[in-house]
Amino acid sequence: MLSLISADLLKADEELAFFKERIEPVLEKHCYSCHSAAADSIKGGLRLDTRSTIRQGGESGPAVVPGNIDESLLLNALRYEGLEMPPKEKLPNDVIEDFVKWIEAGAADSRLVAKSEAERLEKAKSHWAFQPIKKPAVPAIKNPWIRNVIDSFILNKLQAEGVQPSPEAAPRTLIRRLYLDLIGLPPTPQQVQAFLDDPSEENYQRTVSDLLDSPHYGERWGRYWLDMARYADSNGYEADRPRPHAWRWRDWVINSLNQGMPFDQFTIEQLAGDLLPDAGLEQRVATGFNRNTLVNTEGGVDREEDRVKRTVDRTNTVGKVWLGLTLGCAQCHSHKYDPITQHEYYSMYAFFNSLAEPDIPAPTPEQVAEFEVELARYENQYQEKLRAVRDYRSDTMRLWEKQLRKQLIAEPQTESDCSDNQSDKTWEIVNPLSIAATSGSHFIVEDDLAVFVKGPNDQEDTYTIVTETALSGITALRLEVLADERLAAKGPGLASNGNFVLSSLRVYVEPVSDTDDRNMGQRIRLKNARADFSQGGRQVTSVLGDDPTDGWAIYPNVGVDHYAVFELSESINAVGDGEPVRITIQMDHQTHQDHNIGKFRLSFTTHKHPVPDGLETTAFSDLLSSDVDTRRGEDVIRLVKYFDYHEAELDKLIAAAKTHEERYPLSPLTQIKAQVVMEMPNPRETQVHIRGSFLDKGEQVTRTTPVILPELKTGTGEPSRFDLAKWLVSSENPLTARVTVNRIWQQHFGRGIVVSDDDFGTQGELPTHPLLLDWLAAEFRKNGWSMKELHRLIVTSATWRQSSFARPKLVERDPYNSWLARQNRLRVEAEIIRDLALSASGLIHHEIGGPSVYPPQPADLVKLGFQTSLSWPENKDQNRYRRGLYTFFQRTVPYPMLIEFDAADSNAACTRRERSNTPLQALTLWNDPVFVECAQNLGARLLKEVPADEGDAASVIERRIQLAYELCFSRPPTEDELQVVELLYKEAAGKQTVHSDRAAAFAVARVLLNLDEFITRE
Amino acid sequence: MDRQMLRRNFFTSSASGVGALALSSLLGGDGLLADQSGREHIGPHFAPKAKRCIFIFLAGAPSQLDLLDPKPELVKRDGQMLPASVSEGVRLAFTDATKAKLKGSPRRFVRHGECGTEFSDRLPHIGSCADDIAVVRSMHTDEFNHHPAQLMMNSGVGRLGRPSVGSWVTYGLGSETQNLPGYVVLSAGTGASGGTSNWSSGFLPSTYRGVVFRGQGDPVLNLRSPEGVTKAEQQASLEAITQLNAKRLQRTGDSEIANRIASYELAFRMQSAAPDLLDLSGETRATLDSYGLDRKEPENNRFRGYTGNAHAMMSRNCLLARRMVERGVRFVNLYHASWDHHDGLDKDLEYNCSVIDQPIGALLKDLKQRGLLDDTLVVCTGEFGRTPIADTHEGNGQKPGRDHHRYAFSLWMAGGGVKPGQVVGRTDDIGWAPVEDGVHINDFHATLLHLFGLDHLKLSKRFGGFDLRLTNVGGNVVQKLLQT
Repeated sequence: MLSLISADLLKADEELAFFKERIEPVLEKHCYSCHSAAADSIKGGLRLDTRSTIRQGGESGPAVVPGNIDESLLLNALRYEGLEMPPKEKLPNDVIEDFVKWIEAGAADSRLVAKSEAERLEKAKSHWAFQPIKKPAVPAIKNPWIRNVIDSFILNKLQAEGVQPSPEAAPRTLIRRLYLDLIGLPPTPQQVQAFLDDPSEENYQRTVSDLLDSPHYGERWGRYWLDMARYADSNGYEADRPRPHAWRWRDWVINSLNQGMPFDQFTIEQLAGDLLPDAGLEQRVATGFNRNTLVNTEGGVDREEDRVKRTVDRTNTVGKVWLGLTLGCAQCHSHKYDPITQHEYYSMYAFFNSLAEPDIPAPTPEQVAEFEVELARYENQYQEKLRAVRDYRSDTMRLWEKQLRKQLIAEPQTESDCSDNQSDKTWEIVNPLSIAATSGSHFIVEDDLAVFVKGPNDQEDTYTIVTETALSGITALRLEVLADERLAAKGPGLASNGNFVLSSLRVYVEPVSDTDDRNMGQRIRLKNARADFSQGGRQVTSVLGDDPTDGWAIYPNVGVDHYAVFELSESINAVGDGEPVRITIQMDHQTHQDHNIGKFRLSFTTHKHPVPDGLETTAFSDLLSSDVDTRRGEDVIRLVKYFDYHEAELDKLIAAAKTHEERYPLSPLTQIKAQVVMEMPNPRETQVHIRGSFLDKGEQVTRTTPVILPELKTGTGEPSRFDLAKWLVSSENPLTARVTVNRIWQQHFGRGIVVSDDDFGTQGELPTHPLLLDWLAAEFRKNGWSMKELHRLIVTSATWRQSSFARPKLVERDPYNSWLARQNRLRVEAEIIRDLALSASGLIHHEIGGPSVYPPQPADLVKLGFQTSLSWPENKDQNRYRRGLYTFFQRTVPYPMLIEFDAADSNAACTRRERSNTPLQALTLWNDPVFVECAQNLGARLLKEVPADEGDAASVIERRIQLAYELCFSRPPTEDELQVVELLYKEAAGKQTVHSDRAAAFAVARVLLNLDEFITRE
Repeated sequence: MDRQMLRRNFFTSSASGVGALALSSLLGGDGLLADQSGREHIGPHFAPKAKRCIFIFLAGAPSQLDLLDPKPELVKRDGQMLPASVSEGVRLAFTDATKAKLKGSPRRFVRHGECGTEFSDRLPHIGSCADDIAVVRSMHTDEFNHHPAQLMMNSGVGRLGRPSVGSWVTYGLGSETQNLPGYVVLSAGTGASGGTSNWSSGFLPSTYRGVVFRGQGDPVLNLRSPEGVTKAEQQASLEAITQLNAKRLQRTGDSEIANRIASYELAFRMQSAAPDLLDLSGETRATLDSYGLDRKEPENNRFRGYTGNAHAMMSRNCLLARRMVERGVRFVNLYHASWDHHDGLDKDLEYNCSVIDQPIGALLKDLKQRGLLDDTLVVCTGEFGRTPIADTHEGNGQKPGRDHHRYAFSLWMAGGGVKPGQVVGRTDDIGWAPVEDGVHINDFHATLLHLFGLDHLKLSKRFGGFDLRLTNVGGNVVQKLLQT
């Protein structure tokens, strides 16, 4: 046994040696220039430089099939059989024979990684960004300028360059800078004053803490994260359907930042919240990060292709956002510059290749609490109403019973009643002598005297039924509407859903001797109506009036018989001595077109208390006289029914309870959803996509992370997204912390320590302060990945507090301010420009979170979207004044003001926005109705807060301008600025005879809102 | 103190008291104020022939083999396999070159003018201007996918982040108009896949970015002053904004404020100039008809480029382009998309040509008649060419088209110092690759800049540690294209 194994091993060694000596050099010399990772463009998709790629082959099929010389295309090519390779000249026959031997023997091949890739990997191992993060020593320099460690690193460099740092910015500049950087809103004049009143360092620190605790902090810094997450409120592509629930994830981001969630947890919950051991709703909501991709819902789209695109985007986004690597380059071929092979790319891709993408019910905790309160309120009110019904019954029923008993004794039943309790005797069915319709309908009277209607049912019809009767003392009329198989939905109406609407019913009476056809006799009014069922909003009582706009209907209880009983206001008696009368009944269907009755039957009764069958008083006579305690349950129910039927007051109470049922509060479970991801129960297999084409699958890969980075630690089984997320924020990962602190630094200075914030690879820029970057990254991790602590560290440094004045000599030497001998003036982001204008004018409406809003925009704009199918339901309430980040982001037709000021387009992760400066921006601030409204309101605010009667005209104007400057720039105007603005004010006021102050204040407000300083963090 | 006094004070103090940096930022340097104040430009480096450019971009890449480069031999060999000597190692976007069959053009080519240059029968109007046109049949590029190739044609490099030709030219020469953007973009049809990146200013200041004129509503959003604000009031507003911004510039030394000032001044002038530009009431009926402004769309709308108004839009845009160059706009980009004919080539080409041929022909004649063609360069191109073989792309067996082809394509130029009535370059018998006078996109850009009096090697901007230029690391001026 032992000897056999060693013989095999020996053989394997020999074969490998054969490969290395006789095969590999030939491939390298004759093939690699076109068929390897190092080739400029890989021909035919074929790579011969690794074991896996040579066996996988290219467009034509596998190049080498171990042990099978017939199927190994490489041999065909070498032999010039069909394919001819190498193209220049056929290789010598003995070389070709070597290949045959090699393949026959099993094609032993030791090349797991291509040589060129191995070389690149080796080279990249020393790249700075892949080195472990070690906390460097702080430069040992002493200087009173230094406030914290950041300053030591910065000053160290400045001293080396022989440059002085800039002095601290003026307190007014500083407080506005703090507010804009931390919460994206300007300080109020009162907040500025409070800051000026106490210039102590303690107060500065306290102000920083207050701002970090402000709920607006999450809005400000959440927006940056939304850029990276390519958040939008619609799907993108042609149809660009809205995503009504996208905001739920956006609010998760805002809340998490406000709660100070550590960045490692922030990472894990978003990438793998669903896989956490005890994942709650909020953890699942967090996974919406991966649902922000574009989705193509076009008819002709290949759904698998679109899914692959989303998966690619997810992979690239993780690379860009957490690792700061351009992973996407390796989608089609191994990375040209960084040591990421295509194989490794798809090994990362595999983590996201088995996602299910459901929308789950996701009420916020506040909404659940609110619902519970509402539900309790509803229940209380409902019980109250039910109690009213019960109370009414218990209070009055006994009394009523007594009265009824008395009545029965006082009014003995008529003979017929007494002699026969049968219900068909109570109701006398009408035998119609004639029936007519105003439309083309005609009528069939069937054996049971039911009337079946045949007709076009295409207009509002009136049926006129004439009958004669010798009955005396008719008290009521019963209308039965009858179901029938021949009718749509079995009727009883003629409408396609079986419904009808009876708008009015008129009864006329005349002696039979009256033969004048022109009138139908005396009209007998109806006084009461009851039905076994009425449709909500179409009550049978509405038949009593002649209002054609209302009537009785029975939807959705169609397909079964119903009845209505109409009591007459006076009884109909035979004329004289038993001479019959002619009764004409008209049934109108005026309320609703095509809603005529399809089958019906009419009856009369002479009963004193006309009731439907089975509820006749006589049926209760025994019961009523019986002892209450001996009644059987069903008797009681019948009695209560009977009671209910007769008590109009009770009807109202019952109706009140029924109506209340409709007020059952909407469960937030059905209202609010969240877009989340989950792992599919049966994961997909993942293959390399040859040249990035999802149709062209190459070798299979398993989930893992690139070799150049620390090893992925995992439990048993295949690594999960949870493992990947933990790996990203593990203490060994050299990139995530560096990339993240660099981004936060970038927002505070306008420029990262690594300028290429999304490329920490070998093609990226080198850090300007590598030691500082590492110190910050190490400190970030030491502080439990606290983003708020990182902000605090930065904004309390002397470096950040410097003046932004551009010293000419310094600008010459350091045009990009990479040494940071001063702060940078930064034009604020699109959303913040809007927030500033709304704040200064006092229009802003603060509400954290909730569905996205629709502030005004040109009406024709959204029409530019796909087939004019998009809509922009402009908010008419205070939602039109919400902060910019809440503006509904329609991917194909984004809000124009946001785009003009360089907002992220949300098509791919955006880690750094441009800061352009264009005439179209000028037109926006100047003329966009939103900004004009802000200017008007700011003007009005000036007039209100500095009334005209407070001093002489000149001082009022000056104080108004002072106030405007305080509101817009957190500072008073300088003398020369005051001159310019006063002149503007006076000229604008002078031109107007009426409302001159208003025009002047508007002109001033409009100019200030347009100044560079207004939209700049200095 | 009255306004005049204030303004005078401001300018006198500018001239004396302001720091050197602020002054140079305000009045010189990159800002648009540079040319408006008559100060020095980056260029020209020598006497220019062209002063303005109308750059017509047919996005998606029209087939040169059916429009500009007749190949009788290809017609003869229609249906034969592509010779192995050609197909070897060739990588196309969708087609396997080793299995592809040659595809001759069904079009008839017609000789035009004294020069006798051949144009497809689909281009009678453009053809009728043959004596003013130079056709280049030997173009080639490095990219064979749309977006990178569009970036290559527009910015010299197939990657995002570089300035477009229009940005470079306005950066080099400034703008001749004080009232309109120096660089304007007009689009008809379905929009190019490269989108706004095609007219990006890249690392040049954003004032050199192309400004899109919209086809509907206000030509430029928010162009109108608010209701009730008179022109005088808007002007007073502008003056106050300018003065206050200038004061801030002095205090902060931030040159970005100078750009802001320039933006407002241009915005203000655009407010009156743009409506005037778009008001066509002064044009004669004959002019409007020659451009075909009232043309209707065909009944049949089964074309990939059909939008419901492409004919009328293209006509309007061509006329607007003339009106813009008349008013001193330096660079006008006219976009028409949907030329990516992988299938249904002949039918779609008929539709697309009917959209563009008449108005472009009218534009050339109109420019010439007004004496503008001499110093107005007109260019018409796509991002690459199309293959001489049928596209074997799945599902197009019925009406084959052509695949993307980077090895050879054609474009044409007219006016602006281009030597007219000639054909430059030649491709092989089947039109696969140039065999004579190959012109790379970098060469084409070098020539274009040369016509504007700009040396492509000198027109550069330092960025990321390199002096970057439109022609990247290549570029040779094509002497044959120059008028002597």
